[in-house]
Amino acid sequence: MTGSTSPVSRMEILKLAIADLRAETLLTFCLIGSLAAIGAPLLILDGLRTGIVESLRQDLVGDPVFREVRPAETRPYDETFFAALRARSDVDFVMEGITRGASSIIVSASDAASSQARPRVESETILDMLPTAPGDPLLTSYAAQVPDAGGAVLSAEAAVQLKVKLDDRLTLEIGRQRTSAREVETVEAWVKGVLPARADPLPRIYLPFALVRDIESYREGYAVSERDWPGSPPDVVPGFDGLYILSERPLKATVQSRLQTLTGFFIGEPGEPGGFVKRLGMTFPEEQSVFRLSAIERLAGPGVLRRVISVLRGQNYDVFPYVDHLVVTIEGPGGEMSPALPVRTSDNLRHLFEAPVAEINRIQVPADLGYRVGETVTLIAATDGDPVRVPAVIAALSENPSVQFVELSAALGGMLRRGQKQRVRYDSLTDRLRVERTSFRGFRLYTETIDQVPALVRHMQGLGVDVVAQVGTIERILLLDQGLMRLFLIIAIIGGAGASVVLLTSLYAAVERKQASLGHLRILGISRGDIFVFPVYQALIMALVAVAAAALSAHIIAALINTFQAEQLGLKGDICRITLDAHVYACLIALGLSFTSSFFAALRATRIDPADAMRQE
Amino acid sequence: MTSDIVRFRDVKRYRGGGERTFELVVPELRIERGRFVALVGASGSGKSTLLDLLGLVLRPSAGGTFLFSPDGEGVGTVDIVETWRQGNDDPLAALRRRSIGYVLQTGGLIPFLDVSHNIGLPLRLLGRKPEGRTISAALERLGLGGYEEKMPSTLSGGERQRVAILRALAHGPAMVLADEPTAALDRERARHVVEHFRELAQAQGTAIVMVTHDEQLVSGLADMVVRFNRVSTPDHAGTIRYISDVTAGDFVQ
Repeated sequence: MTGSTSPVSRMEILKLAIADLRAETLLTFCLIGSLAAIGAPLLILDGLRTGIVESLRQDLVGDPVFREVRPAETRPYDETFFAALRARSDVDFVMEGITRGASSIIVSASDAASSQARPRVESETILDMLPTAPGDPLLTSYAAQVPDAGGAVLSAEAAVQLKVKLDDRLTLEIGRQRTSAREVETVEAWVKGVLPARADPLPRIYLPFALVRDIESYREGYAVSERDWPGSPPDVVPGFDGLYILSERPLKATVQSRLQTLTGFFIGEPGEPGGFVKRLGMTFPEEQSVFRLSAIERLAGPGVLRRVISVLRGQNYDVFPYVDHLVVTIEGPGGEMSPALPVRTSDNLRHLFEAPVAEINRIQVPADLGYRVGETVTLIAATDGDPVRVPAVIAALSENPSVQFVELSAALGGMLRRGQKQRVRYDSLTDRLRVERTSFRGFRLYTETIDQVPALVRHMQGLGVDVVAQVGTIERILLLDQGLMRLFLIIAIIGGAGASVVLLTSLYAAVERKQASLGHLRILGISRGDIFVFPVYQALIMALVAVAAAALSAHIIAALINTFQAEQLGLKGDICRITLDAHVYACLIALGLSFTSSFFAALRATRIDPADAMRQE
Repeated sequence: MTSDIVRFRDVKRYRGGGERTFELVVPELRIERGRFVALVGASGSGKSTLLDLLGLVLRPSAGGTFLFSPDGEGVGTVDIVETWRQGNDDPLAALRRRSIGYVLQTGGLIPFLDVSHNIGLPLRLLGRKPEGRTISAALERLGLGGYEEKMPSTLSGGERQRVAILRALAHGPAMVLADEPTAALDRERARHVVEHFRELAQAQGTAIVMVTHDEQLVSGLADMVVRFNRVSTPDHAGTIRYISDVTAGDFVQ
């Protein structure tokens, strides 16, 4: 009869392979059992790795403390800075803040019962004040409601110090020092929440942003009309990089050391002529003793100068404050601009406080700029914000063409120098330089997840913003994850190798043992290529069944571990988590290993000579 | 007209090498459809070698002609010597599963398949579905009713051989090769099995080639008997050469 010569369907080979496995139930189960015995512990190990790392991570993920990115320095942050951060998808919450550390207020608890009539002060403490706003993750995730007007949230430590509880009344005392008088305003607030120590270990009070901002404004001297707090925009206080003290006789060592210790910010040393001439534009007085005090980081203000003068009381001396790093541009009446010129200051200590600009704005400029004495020009100096423009009168011309500088009064030089660190504006109505309030000195920021923290920190550092975050803790967990993963891989490789050897030898032995049957199949017309897949199919089937068995037993053991071990370890959630991915990988790896392990058995099967099988049983 | 399934001319098979060589020479052999051919001879005389050659599991040595026409009448004739020479197992395997049935000494049943699956296997390898009823009926006829789900290891020698015969014929092959199929049985039983075998084969026009060392077993049944005569090889001392000799059988209708 005419039959087809189409190849034997692989499905038939598969059925034969399965029939063979089923016929040798015991052997098949032994092999599957030994494979599952390797697979199950590996699945559990991977589950433990995933679970432990995940619960550690979960602790952090759920804890906004680890999602916070804090400013490491006090500097102005303007609206565009905040707008850019709000536009980022990895930023969960960002709000304007105030200078950390310079935000202490005196808080006292008043007995709510005896309120209105005679508030009895229970306790009083100094708390660090932080602004908050709706959506604040720190407050919301610790189940404290975000306070609205008249509300406050305390940290655990603050609540302990004040001996208050929810809905108790607080009195906030906000003081400021203005023209040597201390002014105080008070605000009342009710405790709307207390954070656990874990959320904030420091004595802190969280207040609505509007109140915090008003308090800061008031402290800086501004009026807050909504609260009837008086004030005016503060004048710019001059700041100096240092000063020279000229005296007939050298200063005594005791005076020198008192100058340094009492004034705080100074390094004292003998003045050397080069710096002296460059800074002050005067010839170095060979017959006098010159002593220099220089500021570190901060500028020296009038308070420092006052203390210096009091130390020197009774001596015969001259004091010349100076500024470094200050350049100005001069704009003439016709709008012509000079090049940027370095500034020198001359002694004019009488006007260090509250001076109208008209009293301190006489300047000396190089003659070759072409101005005449008595002409009015505009001084332009860079500030923290827009450049400041101050009117000035040409008082003198310097003829020495080799030295190009502008000589200002010490008061004006100091103010412009201060303006480099603050946002200042010339107010023509009062003829004064005023501190302008347009930026914020800090921020509070939380990312969406802890994983975004390292990248955001790098982003901020790239912008030149120094920030602090719990990157270390997060990265320690990543490292732990990687370490555990590496350990797991080593164990998995050993286990996989063992499983491969078991499979390889078992399958090879099986083919060897079944030579006759396989030979008969060859006689019955199964080609060499088809007999090749017979042990391969068997290996793949056993691998899949072994993975299933391993997964089943691993899940049972994982459930036991999660029920009885998790609590002892003090970890939240399941500590043994066998993920879907783990199953998929286990299947793929098992299939891959069984395929390669069956190769030698398959090769052996193809070498079986059907002629030998004719006479074998 | 010709209904030859197999045509051999000068087919040789050498085995061994060096000191001792075994040679089988088949000058002429034609197997027709539906015939019962007995290969008779002492062990080592080459009857199994001839069966292996016919069974397409042993490669003939170079030279000679071996044509296989499973459909008879010269249709679809395959040059087996050439196919072996090409070294591809697939066409030979295809011929084996389509056109040849095998009954081995102790049956050659696949140990991990039950009786019914063993019998159905040749059909399934051809991509056809065996009919359970047909198998059951055939088992019934051979006195093996209800044996469908038994495993080969639980059968007696005679039962095993009968199942093997059913399997060999299941897909209607052109030729069934049987290698001492009754070796494990007593004479009476053996005779019985062979008679059954012959009836079934004739009913579907299948040629049977049966190896036996016991000529009596096939006497009165074979259409053709092939014997193997040892010839002297004076120039090759180490060579054992057998030449086949075909005689008409003593089958009497």
